Amino acid sequence: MNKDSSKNQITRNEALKRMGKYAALTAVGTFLILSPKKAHAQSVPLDPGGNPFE
Amino acid sequence: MKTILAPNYVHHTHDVVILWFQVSNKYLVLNDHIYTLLDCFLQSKDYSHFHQLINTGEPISGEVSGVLFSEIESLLTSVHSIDPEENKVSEVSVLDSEFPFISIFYNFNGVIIQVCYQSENEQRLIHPQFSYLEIEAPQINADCVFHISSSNHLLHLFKSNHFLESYSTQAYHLLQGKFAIELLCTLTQTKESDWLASFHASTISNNSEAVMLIGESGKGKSTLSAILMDYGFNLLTDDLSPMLAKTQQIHHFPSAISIKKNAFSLIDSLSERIKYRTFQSPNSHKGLLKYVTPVNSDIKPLPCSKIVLVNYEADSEASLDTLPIEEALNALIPDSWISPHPEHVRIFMDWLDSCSFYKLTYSETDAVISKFETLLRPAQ
Repeated sequence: MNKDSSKNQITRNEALKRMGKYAALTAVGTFLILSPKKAHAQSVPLDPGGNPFE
Repeated sequence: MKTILAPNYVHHTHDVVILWFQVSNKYLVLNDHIYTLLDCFLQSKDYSHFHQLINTGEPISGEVSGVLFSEIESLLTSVHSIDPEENKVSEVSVLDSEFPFISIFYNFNGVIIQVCYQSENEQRLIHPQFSYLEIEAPQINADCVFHISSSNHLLHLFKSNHFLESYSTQAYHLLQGKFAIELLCTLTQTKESDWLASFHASTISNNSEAVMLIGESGKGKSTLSAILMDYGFNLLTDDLSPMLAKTQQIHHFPSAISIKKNAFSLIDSLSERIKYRTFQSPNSHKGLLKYVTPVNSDIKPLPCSKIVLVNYEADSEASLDTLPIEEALNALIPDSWISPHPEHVRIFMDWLDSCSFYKLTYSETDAVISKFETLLRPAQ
């Protein structure tokens, strides 16, 4: 999650210099991009990559 | 107007704004400040118009408005991009009805389901969750027959002798999910398109309302479900909580609770009410799992307006706090299937209005029950 950097005592221009791709936007507040799963699924194994048939 | 980048749905709830983009089925959760800027961007004809629109209060320099303009454009472009579907297998399989499958019958509250497994490997994927419902082969035909086979590192699922889908063997959790939703449709006489969502959550009820437990795998949802069931609550469903679009109620799903090794001793400390069977994990490298039989005095669908993020933390003191909706959605949406049908998205957003969100941290049985009881009273 992008944190609300306005809580930090820095100006918007300083935030612009410090932050990444969406520097100016994250200086204004938080946002999240969320994608639901594309298919029904049961819990993914904790350490995926194992093959149940091997 | 940059209508091509506009969201298909905008919803204000719990002090945030949620935007939905149909082309990608992505949700963008914003605060009011960013939404105001984004709305100005969508209304603007070009950069200078945007600069003019956002300069209504404290002056914003051309340098800052220029960066904002390009960042909003980049953000909106990224939420329109379609992620590739992982583990998608297009291979079609044909059922070999002559093959000597392992045939097991289950009685789901009067509905007889037959599942035919090609070998013990396929059996291990489905059977442990429903083994408590196994019955002898009945004299009558089953209400529905599933076949699960495999070939060339692929798993194949059939329902009523019709091919449904193939999955890579490593993506067996997708076969389990598809089997679950097809079984649910059979048991409830519904179609897959009737469902609003299958949330990655366990749902606990007291016969009049339900509370959904969410959180990453390994954070104690299933263990907490067993503790609460032992105390007298109903387990409506574990791991997968299906919500019907028409009613927005969570439906019962009869799988046993799967408990991992690190919670075995806690499960053993519960009363005789809690019964379990032990099976090899679907992934044989991961040892044993215990499957706790659900205990329910009532399995009717119920409304749910409380969502609890579960957080097991060794040696922690139990605490129950309200949770910002952003954190709840961050745990719920990426881990769940939510119907991409626009009308279903609207219903999902409206349902969020009625919900309250909490975070429950626990390490010890009695203390967590006492906290949970402030949200839901046990059935009398």
